[in-house]
Amino acid sequence: MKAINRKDFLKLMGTGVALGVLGKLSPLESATLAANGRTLINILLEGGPDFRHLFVPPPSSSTTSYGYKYWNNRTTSIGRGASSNDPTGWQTIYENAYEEMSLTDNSGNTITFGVLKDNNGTDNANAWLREKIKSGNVAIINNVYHSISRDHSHSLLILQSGSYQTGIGQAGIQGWGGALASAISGKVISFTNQLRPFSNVSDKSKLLSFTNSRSFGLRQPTFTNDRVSVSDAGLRALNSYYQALNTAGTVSSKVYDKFVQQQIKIQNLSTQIQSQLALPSGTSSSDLETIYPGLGSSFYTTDTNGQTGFKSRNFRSQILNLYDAFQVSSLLEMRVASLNYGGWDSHKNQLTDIEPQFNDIFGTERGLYALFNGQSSLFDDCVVTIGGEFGRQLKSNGDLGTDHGRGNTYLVIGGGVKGGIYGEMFPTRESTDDASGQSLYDRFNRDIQGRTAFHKIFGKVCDWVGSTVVTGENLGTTGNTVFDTSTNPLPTITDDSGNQISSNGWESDTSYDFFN
Amino acid sequence: MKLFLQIIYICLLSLFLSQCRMLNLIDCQKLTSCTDYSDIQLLSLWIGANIVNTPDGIFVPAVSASGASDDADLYNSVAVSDAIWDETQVRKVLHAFAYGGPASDSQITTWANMRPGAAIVQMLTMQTKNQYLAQALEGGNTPVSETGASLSGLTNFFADGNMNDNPTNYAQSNRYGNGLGNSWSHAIKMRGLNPFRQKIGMLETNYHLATNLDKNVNPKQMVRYYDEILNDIASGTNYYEVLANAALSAAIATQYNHRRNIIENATFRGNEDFAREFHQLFFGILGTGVNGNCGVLETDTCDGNPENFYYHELRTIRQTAEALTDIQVEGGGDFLPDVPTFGTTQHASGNLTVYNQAYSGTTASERIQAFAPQSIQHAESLQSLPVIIVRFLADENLDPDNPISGTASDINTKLSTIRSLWAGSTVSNSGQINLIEFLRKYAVSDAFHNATRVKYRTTIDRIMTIANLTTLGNGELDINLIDSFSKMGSENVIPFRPEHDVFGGQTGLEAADTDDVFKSQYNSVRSNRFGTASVWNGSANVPVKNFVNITKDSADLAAATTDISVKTMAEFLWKRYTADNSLQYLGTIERAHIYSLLATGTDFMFQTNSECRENTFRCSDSSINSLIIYESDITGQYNDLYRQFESDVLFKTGESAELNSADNDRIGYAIDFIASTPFLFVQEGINQ
Repeated sequence: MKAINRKDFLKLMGTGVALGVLGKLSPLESATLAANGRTLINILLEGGPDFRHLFVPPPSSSTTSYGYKYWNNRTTSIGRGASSNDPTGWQTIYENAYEEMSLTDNSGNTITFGVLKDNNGTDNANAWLREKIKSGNVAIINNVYHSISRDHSHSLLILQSGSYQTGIGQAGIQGWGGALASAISGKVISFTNQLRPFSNVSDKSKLLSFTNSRSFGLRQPTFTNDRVSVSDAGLRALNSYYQALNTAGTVSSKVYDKFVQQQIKIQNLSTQIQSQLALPSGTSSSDLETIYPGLGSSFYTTDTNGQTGFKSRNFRSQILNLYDAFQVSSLLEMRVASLNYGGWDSHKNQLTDIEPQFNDIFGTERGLYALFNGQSSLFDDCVVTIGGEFGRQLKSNGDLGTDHGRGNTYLVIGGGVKGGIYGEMFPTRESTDDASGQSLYDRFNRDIQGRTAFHKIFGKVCDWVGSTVVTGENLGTTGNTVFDTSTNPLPTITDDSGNQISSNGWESDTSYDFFN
Repeated sequence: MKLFLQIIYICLLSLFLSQCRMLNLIDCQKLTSCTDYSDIQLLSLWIGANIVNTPDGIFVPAVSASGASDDADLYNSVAVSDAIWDETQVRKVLHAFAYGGPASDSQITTWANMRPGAAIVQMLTMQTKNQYLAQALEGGNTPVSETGASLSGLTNFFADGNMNDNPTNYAQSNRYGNGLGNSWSHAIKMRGLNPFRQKIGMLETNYHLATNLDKNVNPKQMVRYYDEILNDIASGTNYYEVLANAALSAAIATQYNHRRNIIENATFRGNEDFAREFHQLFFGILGTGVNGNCGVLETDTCDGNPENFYYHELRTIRQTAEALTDIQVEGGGDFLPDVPTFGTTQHASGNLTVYNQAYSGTTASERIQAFAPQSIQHAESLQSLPVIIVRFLADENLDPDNPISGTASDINTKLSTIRSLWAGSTVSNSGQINLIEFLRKYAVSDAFHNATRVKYRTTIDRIMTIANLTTLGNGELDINLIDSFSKMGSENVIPFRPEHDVFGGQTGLEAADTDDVFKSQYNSVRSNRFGTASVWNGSANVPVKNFVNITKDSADLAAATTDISVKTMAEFLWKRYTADNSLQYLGTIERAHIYSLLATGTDFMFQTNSECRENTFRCSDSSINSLIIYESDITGQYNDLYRQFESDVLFKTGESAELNSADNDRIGYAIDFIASTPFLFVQEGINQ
């Protein structure tokens, strides 16, 4: 039997026989993945990723240029033997560790920059990302306003709710992923160890989470000679109990009923998911090469200490679970996927800490490559959003790292994305000397000025996923009121002296049309 | 000789570089598991140190004291009325603060009959042993002394005391695995120790002042951090001093790496990571104002704050980083030391300005101690810190904009009470805030005994509460009968490796919405059970505990060893595990399932089928698999069956050992069932 493609799959769905067919597929045959409609995959980078480490300006020997200011003040985080006032040395590092590219930004300017191609001494890093940038599928959105406080917890809530009005400790607030799932047909599926606020949604039937697709759901009683196993009496009692509570509505308290609904939701899917994702005969859950053929050696190999080819074993697991979710997408009704990757708070040892992490996400035979490899229709149906709660300061610190800053870059990737650079990638404000002969790069505690609101990004993403085309100020109607600036007003933007800048400090809405 | 040593040095260097590529032993902790990089300085330190991984344990003697004033009237002054303070509310306090206690029913009644202030002094104390809680129902209480019952002391005891999961001494068992987390979960299950103390330890080290074994902190640093924080709290130390001392620990200096912050050539070199977190995490100060909306302009003012946000960022954070210079955590072999030293030569000179006030000092310790008193009195700290603490311990319905239950007004009233109690918890320390005084006041106040209080149990809360309530004797720890540590792991939760690197472990809100958490608990009725009473020895199931002993805690069954009614046992278990002393939620459906498991060891549906009940070969068990039993069924066609189970008895007089063992298994099944009902996933302040 040959592999079915997505079109055939949807055709089968139409005849009502797809589930039965899919259930019989071998792992290899079932490796054609299908989205349930346009789907958002959100990867939350916790800690505040330094995208200025991933994308760098070309070095320059002109002491007033951006390229000089950046490299001269980033020597401790760049590493690789970089030293101050050494343009020749910087150029060598740039050529060895970065691939130079040129793209046109939304203002029509040609921007030349380097994309990290080295992973702590290993070449050809982030190859998938570099290829997607060149093929025009990556929107690099710069100078995004993240938060005021630079506090991890608070900033994460702002990012995941999409609202700058989100207060400290408001962990129960609706997430923008949950808001999207509420507004469209489908669910948000979380693959994170613990649910992230991005997925928060008031209607819990819209939410499902798991961290091991191959052991999904609630156990069902087992039988031998038509007799239930002695130890399974409790399982049967519990199921009957929860079903009765649900039907009779005898638990009136909302706080308890939440768990009744959780049991019903999982129980209803357990048997089907377990059946469709059953391990092939004769394989164990650790036999990943058989279960997930063709993903790449980094998924299969472990060293003597049990370390995988990935720096983050957890992120690898999330990708495998997402892969499986696309195999059973019609059951899950997945339209929003939530993933996370921690460890970006690079105050120290930035190079060695975050370069392997970038490569886990963007490298060949790594996360996104493995998910989309040979799945062009899936890539066309998905949009991947990647970002963290805030950025880093312009100047690196004295501990081989960078400290918290407010603004940052945000990435939007997908087959439907109109790739390019949005917003000033290397703002002149950061490199311009003041009267004392110092630029912001020369000073500590100066950061990226946020000039693009989350509304502009998330609203458009929601509209694309929901297939609702909206232009102008009224962004994000699919995502509901989260992105309504009348109820969630934008914060104040200040200049580098702490003075408020004019309202046009915000990038205009129409300039960021990053979908085809 | 010198040449020889140089050759050896070069060989070792080559080996080291080839295997670990200049790896940081502080990070990797042993040569074969290197995962991170460092600099030559650390390599030299390692080479110069003792290469042999000599076991060198650590023991921090425990301070065993209450931690606050024991004057009952102090707490009665803010307590709910006696009408509200009943057995259910007493149980709720034990569940929220002490992993369920457990205390005997009669003790709970005694406390309910006391004024709340007098009761809470006995219930919530930082003594390592509390005669009212977690007493052995099989065998004796722990032989560990009061001073020996620190976490480091207990870990040593588990290592040497024939505890199978800590087979060697502290240094070996804790360096490379999760020995510390395992020991912590054992400490809660160990009979004769005080679970409240461990809950406070979890609050401070895994949530509020979170440190992480995955973030370079080594287990020796971690256990000292844990023990010394608890010792400070038990001693009744001002809370700002508790936090200042924690801030100056080797664990914190290692996790945030400011151990490398120095002043060099009059210039600061280092990071500002902990300089920020000292204010944000430890004291809840973000610099954005009590309402979180202060302007960010240089000219803005910030009501209530001593400085505006602009200066908080550019001056307070920066100068705190300079205050944290020359903290040395170096040497000590292949582990960084667990005690820092504070130098002066690479420390900042002159005054440093924090919160718009200048502070002098010659070491990091002097600096932090100098401005910590202002930190705790900062308007934002007074606003935020008590809420952070309460959110972890007892209430996640504290957001008036997104109430889980009640109205915004209800929640604002509750918040106001919490903040007032916090600011006023100063009697024990002559005007300074005391944590235990606050917790006691809160635990008897109407903010805790409140209809809008909602606490979703974290994985750790739920598993350790059930484990604590189910453990009868210390012999169970020897065989790790309730493997609470692996249970937490199956929900992706590991003590001392918190989910969120900086701001702590899994929250209750997260647990409540994470399906794997529910799934794991639900599925545990089949495997890795809480209620296991016998273990397979290769040829037969061997009883390892006798649940008849749990009746010693029951008011109705005290000292009963035979002919225990199913109904009485069911009600006792229900109260114990759900804190629902009034049996409000033990309805007919709950009773039917629990009765059936207790009376027969099988589910009620099975018993409704006469072929199955009478064990004939015609029984088609799978045919009843999807049967749902409603209350109308139980009060109708199955009422005789229900009544029969209700009046059945366990441990019948003259029963054989085999049947006695079966009764134990049945009680275990009932416990597992109750543990997976909704009432173990969340707690209300007052039953609705």
